[in-house]
Amino acid sequence: MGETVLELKNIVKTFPGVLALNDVSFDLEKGEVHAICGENGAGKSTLMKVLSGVYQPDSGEIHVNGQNRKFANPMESYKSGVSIIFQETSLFEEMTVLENMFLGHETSKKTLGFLPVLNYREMREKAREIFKRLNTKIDLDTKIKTLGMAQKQMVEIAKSLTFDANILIFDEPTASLTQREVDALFSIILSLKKEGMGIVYISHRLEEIFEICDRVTVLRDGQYISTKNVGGTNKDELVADMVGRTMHNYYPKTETELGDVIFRVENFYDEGFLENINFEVRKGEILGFAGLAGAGRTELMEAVCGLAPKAQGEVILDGKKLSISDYTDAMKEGLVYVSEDRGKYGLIVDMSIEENISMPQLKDFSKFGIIDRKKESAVAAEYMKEITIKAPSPDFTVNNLSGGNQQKVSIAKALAIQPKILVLDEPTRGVDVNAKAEIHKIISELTGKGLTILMISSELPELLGMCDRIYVMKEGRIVGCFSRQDATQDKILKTALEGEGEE
Amino acid sequence: MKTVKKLKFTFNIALLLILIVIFAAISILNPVFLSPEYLLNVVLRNVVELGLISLPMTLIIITGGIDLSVGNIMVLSAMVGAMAAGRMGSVAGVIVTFLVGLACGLFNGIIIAKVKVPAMVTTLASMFLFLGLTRGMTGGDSVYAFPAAEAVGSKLFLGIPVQIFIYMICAVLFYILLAKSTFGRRLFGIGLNSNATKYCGVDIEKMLIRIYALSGLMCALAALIMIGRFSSLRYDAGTNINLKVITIVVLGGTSILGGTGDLKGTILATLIIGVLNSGLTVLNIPIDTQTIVHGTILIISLIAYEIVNRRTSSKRLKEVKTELLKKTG
Amino acid sequence: MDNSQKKNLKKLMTTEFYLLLFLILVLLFLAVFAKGFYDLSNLMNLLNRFNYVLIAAVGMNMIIITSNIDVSAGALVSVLCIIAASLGKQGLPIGVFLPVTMAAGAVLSMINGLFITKLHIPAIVATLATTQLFQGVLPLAVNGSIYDLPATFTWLAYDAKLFGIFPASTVLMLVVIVTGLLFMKYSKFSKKLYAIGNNKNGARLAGVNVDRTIVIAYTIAGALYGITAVIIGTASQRVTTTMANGKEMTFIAAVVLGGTSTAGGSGKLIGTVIGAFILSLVSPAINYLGISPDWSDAIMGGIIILSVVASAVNIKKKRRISAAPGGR
Repeated sequence: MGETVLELKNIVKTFPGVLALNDVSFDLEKGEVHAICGENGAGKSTLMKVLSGVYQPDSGEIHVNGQNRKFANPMESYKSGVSIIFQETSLFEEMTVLENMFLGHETSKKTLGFLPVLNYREMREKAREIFKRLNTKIDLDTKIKTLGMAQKQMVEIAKSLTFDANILIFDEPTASLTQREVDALFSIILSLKKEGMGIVYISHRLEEIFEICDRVTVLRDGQYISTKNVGGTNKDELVADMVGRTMHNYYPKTETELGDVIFRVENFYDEGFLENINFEVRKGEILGFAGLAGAGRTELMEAVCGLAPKAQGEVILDGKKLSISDYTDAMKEGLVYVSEDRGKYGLIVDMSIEENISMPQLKDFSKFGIIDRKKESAVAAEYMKEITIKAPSPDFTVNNLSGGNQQKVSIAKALAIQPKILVLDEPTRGVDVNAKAEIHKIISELTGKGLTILMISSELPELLGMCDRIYVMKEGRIVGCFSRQDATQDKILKTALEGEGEE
Repeated sequence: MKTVKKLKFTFNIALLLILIVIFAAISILNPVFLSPEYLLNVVLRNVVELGLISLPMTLIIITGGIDLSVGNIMVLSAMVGAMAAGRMGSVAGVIVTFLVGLACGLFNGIIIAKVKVPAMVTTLASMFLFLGLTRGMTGGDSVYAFPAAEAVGSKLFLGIPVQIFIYMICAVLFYILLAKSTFGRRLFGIGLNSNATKYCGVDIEKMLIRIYALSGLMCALAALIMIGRFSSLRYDAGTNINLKVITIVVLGGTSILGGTGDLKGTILATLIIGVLNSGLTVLNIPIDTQTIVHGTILIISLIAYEIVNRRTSSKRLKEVKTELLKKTG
Repeated sequence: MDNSQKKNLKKLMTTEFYLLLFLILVLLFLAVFAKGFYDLSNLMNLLNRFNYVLIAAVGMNMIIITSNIDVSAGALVSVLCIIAASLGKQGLPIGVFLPVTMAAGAVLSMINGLFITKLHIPAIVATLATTQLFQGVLPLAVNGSIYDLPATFTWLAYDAKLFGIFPASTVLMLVVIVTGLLFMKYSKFSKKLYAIGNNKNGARLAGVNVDRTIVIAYTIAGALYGITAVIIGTASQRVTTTMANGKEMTFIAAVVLGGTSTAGGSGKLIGTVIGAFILSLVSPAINYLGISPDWSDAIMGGIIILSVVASAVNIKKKRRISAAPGGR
């Protein structure tokens, strides 16, 4: 095809404890739609944030339109011709569409020879022109907060076009769009392509890649894997590239004797999130939930634990139908949820280990409302020993612990409630390899003691290694179920992507 | 909270040192200051009302909230109480005073917790409302003390003003409430991370309503003492109390962003302000000038907190980095 | 056509619109029930109060849009009153002491901005501290009040009348408000203010220099306080050191009533104008309705509470509708 408009060379980016991008290279030609795909956490979004100046790479070069560039913030990358449409929109909610489109680079004219005055007429004209190009109508004077997701995305696209960009990056643009909106978006992308723009299209939806992309680059665990012409490859080949062939062996799952069915979820429904969910789990079992980001796994677990007030459905534990109206009820019944977002929902990071552990059940740690510090400390010390939390003492602030140890505190906090069913949402996210293995060992040992575990994970090897059975979810529904013996990475990923599998 | 605790420890020591230095300096300049009678009857007695209100204010600020209406709740409850006492006697007066305080506090708390209007806006508006109600009901006149109020405001017990006992009891109770009780622990949780606290099953709305109501009750108590001490009150007597109370709490090391703070700091800050106020009076420094001293002290302490916070956070960053290096290397 | 008309109508239903409606209703009510309210001298009186509240509120509005606040405004205006008076005492004309007072206000208010941005002290605490400094400095410099001021000082309040009736302060107000409205609509700077209030980090990513913008907002507000101080100060031949103490709450109230959220990022200046007008209206209005002026604060408080509760309930309702479909 045409000339190369964008080239990334040997990009390396690390975060504390994680190598997010390792020597990744990528190039984009004029008039091309180039897909980047990979599993959750493969490094797609990080790569794009590096390109757009949100993150600065540790090493490597970025060439835009033939020039070597370093971006300190997104505004700089916009001005050099690279525009990114983020997954979570970066728009200012209380400001109007027009204000958002031109924020930071408003058109102005000199009045009285010296006063720069915003030239609304010119901005309006330009905005109208852009929306005409996009074949969309949006009132320029409405506030962003009144728009729906699809419209917000349209504004993001329009905003990027105000910069005269010739490189556009879409980060999972269809994640929250309806089919009709997706079709509209695709026709826009194709017309932009015809105008000669280079487009980077990040997605994990394979069918979309085959529909509109010219080339596809696969990333896995922050590594560059392959670049192929879409015409010369097929879904199976891409899936194989995405999952790789290696199977790590650090999941010391101990075989446990499974008991009877202890817990059943029936007809769960939450408008817009969940559709008719049914599953059951046996005592001592580890039940996995696979699916892509946004498949509804977290929503399901929150609903089951009384954290989504509008969800409907039945929960049966030990043959007894539970009535759960909030999370306090769920905890009382022995249903405990460990959030995927440790810092926001899981832990109060500025408190100590013991204070976090006692928080959900302060009543049990107090007499006449006065906290029994000794008991608090003793219980915390017990759990620290049991699940090997590495910290000097129980009164050590959680914030000063490593990610792995913080996660262990989360688990200890849940265990202290004496759960019957423990829900672990991404239990090893943001945790280094050693701690990961330790957490897996802990989970395995817990089931040996008769605890039943529901585990969400976006890492397939983890699910395959740990779980007795794996349910696969897509768009709020359960679309497949695999036993430990049958499950393979390919099967699960394919089911998660395409929604067809054996129930 | 280990590092936080260490921080608090040094700050409380610093506050204590400041208190001692100021105290010594004033005593040297004017020995009258040192007489036990002066200390009890003037220095401590004059700061009791501020001290009482700063106790619940500390709790409120720890949750990340604020109450700009405390002084006006105080005067409103004193007014209505005194009117009731005038018609129905002292006991009714006391009951009505507390009821009014409670009602005002509940009013704030419900708007903040249930309607979710920011605390600053709510209490700013209710400040006008309470001030205005007081002014409207009294027609701008003063109201006068009644026997029950005099008993707590201007009587002695064992040679010591009654309100000092009241303050000491309240300070101890609040200290226990904040530092030792489940209630206090949950308050810190709300201030540090209200999401995670909610995910621990804590009813945050109820907690917030309770502390604002408690604040209203303490304002009523302070109101009784104040009207007893001055024997009359004007409707606008409360307005400049609002910011003074917040000054005390912030000077005591409680972060206005919520989550950190303790009552020892607040109590020490109360004493500092008390000693300063009376001390500067003893030294014949005009009462207006004392404000600048308050302001300067507040600014210096704020800058000190900022510097120490920065240092500890950069230290923490270093610690994390070395820990990581150890692991990978 | 029908649909777009509906849309246009919906666009009109803003906070500002409801406020204006409320204001008009009150004015009509007063026309019927308050005899003599529309008397010229009364209106001019009302206007004078409105003038200084509004001018300061224009500055306060900018500050609050960035999700900061200034509780030192009252004390600062007191300081500026004294500065204006001490210059006036020398016989200097308004052409000198007005700009000097504005400059002094800009500098002092800039200090607030620097405390907040450079030392990372939350705005409410920083300005609380400077309140005490401002209040404390005055008695050191002046013994209670400056009095026996010459006629040149009170010229603005008494002699400067446009067409023989309009107080000159109204002209100042009009200049400020027109400039303000144009500035908030046509300057790049105003967009930065909103962006910061909406999302500080987002603004930073969009290349906005957040700290500098906040400091400038405080500085501009300070200059406006200077004008307010001159209007308040020149109203009599004696200027006391506590002349404007406590007025910050009225300024903030005007902004909040005008629909600007203290959370920042939203609110229009026109709302502040209406808010300030409603608040200035309360005292004279109830006076003419035969209610004791002692109830004016209570009524102001009631109005503010009703308006913030109504808008909070409104926001909640809107959220509930839009929260339904779509993933997370």
